[in-house]
Order: sequence, then C-alpha cells, then structure tokens
Amino acid sequence: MKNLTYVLLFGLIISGCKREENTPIEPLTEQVDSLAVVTVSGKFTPTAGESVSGNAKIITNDSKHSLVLDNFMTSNGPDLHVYLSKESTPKDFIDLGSLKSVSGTQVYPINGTPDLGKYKYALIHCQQFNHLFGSALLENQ
Amino acid sequence: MKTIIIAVICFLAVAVSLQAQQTKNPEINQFVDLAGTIGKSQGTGALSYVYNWRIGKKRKIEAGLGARLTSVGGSKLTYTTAGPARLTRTFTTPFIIFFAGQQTENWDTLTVQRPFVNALNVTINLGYNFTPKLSAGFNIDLIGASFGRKSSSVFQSKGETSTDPVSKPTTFNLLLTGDHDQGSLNSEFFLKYKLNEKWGVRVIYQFLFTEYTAGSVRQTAPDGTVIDRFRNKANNFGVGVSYQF
Repeated sequence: MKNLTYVLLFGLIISGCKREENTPIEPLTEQVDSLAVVTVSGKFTPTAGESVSGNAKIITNDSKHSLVLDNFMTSNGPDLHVYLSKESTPKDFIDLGSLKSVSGTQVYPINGTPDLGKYKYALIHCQQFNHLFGSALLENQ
Repeated sequence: MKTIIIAVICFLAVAVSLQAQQTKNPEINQFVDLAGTIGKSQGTGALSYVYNWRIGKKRKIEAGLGARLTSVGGSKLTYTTAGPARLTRTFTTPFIIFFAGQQTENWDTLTVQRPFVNALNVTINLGYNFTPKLSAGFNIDLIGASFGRKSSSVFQSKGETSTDPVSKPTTFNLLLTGDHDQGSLNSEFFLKYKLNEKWGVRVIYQFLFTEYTAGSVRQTAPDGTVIDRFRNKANNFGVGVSYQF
C-alpha cells in the first residue's frame, strides 16, 4: 500500500512537469505570396553553441505583413519560437508562434498593426528554457 | 464533471448504508496524509500532519491544526496579477471578496515556463464523521513559507511581450482571503473512507493558489502602483492516503 502510494504520487507530480517536444525536422517549402514586396531582410547569426543559418525577411501585400524564413536551417531544440524583437535579445518582442520546422521556407503572418520600424530583429528562441538560438538584423532593402 | 458527482454520491450512499455499529469516537484524531492531485498542465503532491480534537456529544465534529508541505510542478502556467485586491476585484471586504467580480482589465500575465513550488504551511482542519468509517472535511493553509525553482517567464502587459529571465516563488504565504492572499496556499474539500484501524483513503477537490514574483519585469497599474507578484489559481481533483496514529 505504501509503495503504491509513493509511486502514484510521484507519477502525479511528474505528469504535470511536461517538457515541450523538439521541433519537427521535415523540411518545409511554404508558398510565399508572389505579389508581396520585401521591406526589410537580414541574415541569421547563431549564438554560441548553436547552428542557425538562412535569411529572414518581412514581406507586405495590401497592408498584410508576414515574416518569411528563407533557406533556413537551425539546430533542434524544445519549444522553439519565432519572434520579432526590438532588440537582439528577447526583451520586448512579438511572438509569431512555434517554429514549424528546423529547415526550409516558412511563412509567419504578423497579426495586428505593430510598428514594424521598432522591431528590428528576427529571433529563434527556446521559450521554455530561455535560450536564444540565433538572430537576424532586419534592414531596409 | 457530472460523472464525478454521480460517483461521489454513490460512494456516499454505499458507505452510509454499510455503517458499522455506532461507537463513541476517541477524543483526538491524529494522522498523516499523502495526497496527489492533477490539473491542467500541473500536478501536486502534499504531505500533511493533522491533529484534530473531536467535539460534541457524539464526537462527530473535528477541528484542529496541522502542517502541510505541498509541491506543485507544471509547464507554461499562466499567472495573473496577484494584487492588490483593490485593483483585481470589484470589492475587497475580507471573506465576502470570494463573491466579488474580477477586474480583468487590470490584469497582466506572467507565463512561467517551468514552475515548481514547495509551500510549507500551517493548516486549519475541519471534519465531520458520518459513520466510524466515512467522514468529510475541509482544510486550508494559513501561514508559512515557499521555496522552489526559479524560471524564465513571458510577461504580457498592455499589448507588449517581454521575457523575465528569473521569476521565483513568492517566499511568504499568508491567508487573508481571496485576492488579499499572499504566496502559495492549498485547500481541500474531501471525503475520507477508513479501510481499517490505520489506513484510510480520500477523494479530494483542491483549490490551490501558487504565486511567483517577477525578477526584472514590473506591471504598472493605472493608479501608478508597481506590481511584481502574479498568481495561478487551480481547481484540481485527486486522491489521498491517510495513516492513523
């Protein structure tokens, strides 16, 4: 009875401590709006110990903005998110959602009407462990 | 939810109908209890010691004090502005605050990525013995301290999002009712069935507050109040095992 109790309680606590899964590895080739105009773009620079490469660009068509990751590749990790950030670290940012794949071409809609002139960086960030994988400085075309 | 209520009613009905011959209960009820509950994105374990006095002519009513260590683990839990209560609720009268509306327009959120809180508190315990085997009760944490894991958090305030690298469990726990509370406090409604002289089992409905204090981010309320405490409220179901002394 005692041993069963301990096992059950341990299981209950552990079941609440979920580690987010790693990002899918299947390369993506999402369609990019051919009528959209590239407003800013930049190349990814990895942080120490990580491997991130490719380009990030903001495209605009009819007042709709999206962030495109192009020729993109990153080392894998749990709970990777794509941010538009005011700084090269995730202090003040817009969360565009979970990273869809560790490689390929991916499109992330930017909702609302943020002042994109203030958000100068695209970041790949592990949210659960607060670890920055890479950043791209977005500059005018 | 309906299934759980029906199951509890059936449990009560069967237990009462099987009651043994009525004997007078001992004056003191002393036991330790191990409980576990599960909720949305979190799980808890609690170890309690209870010392109750049985009162009344038939000694069916119990009241007393105890101590409890509650451990709460989770993932990406949302914590909202903990107080002051004048900013988070529509009125603040102690106890009656339970019925106050929520001023969600004054809430910011702190999503703690890997929360883990241990709260060690003094408890107050109440119970009623329907039969020698079946009882029901309520307990609540009164005062104590918390320790636990520091974690990064995502802070959302006035449409802006930022990272707090180091949020930590609020250290001091104090029951003042509703949004006046400080820290992490556990409470339970439960039904208990004694399997034999020593062992009993419980079904539990838990109401749990856990609280984190932000490291570097701050909420600034409309009246200028600066806030760094954020609270998660959870209603969880679980089970417990008791050992009688």
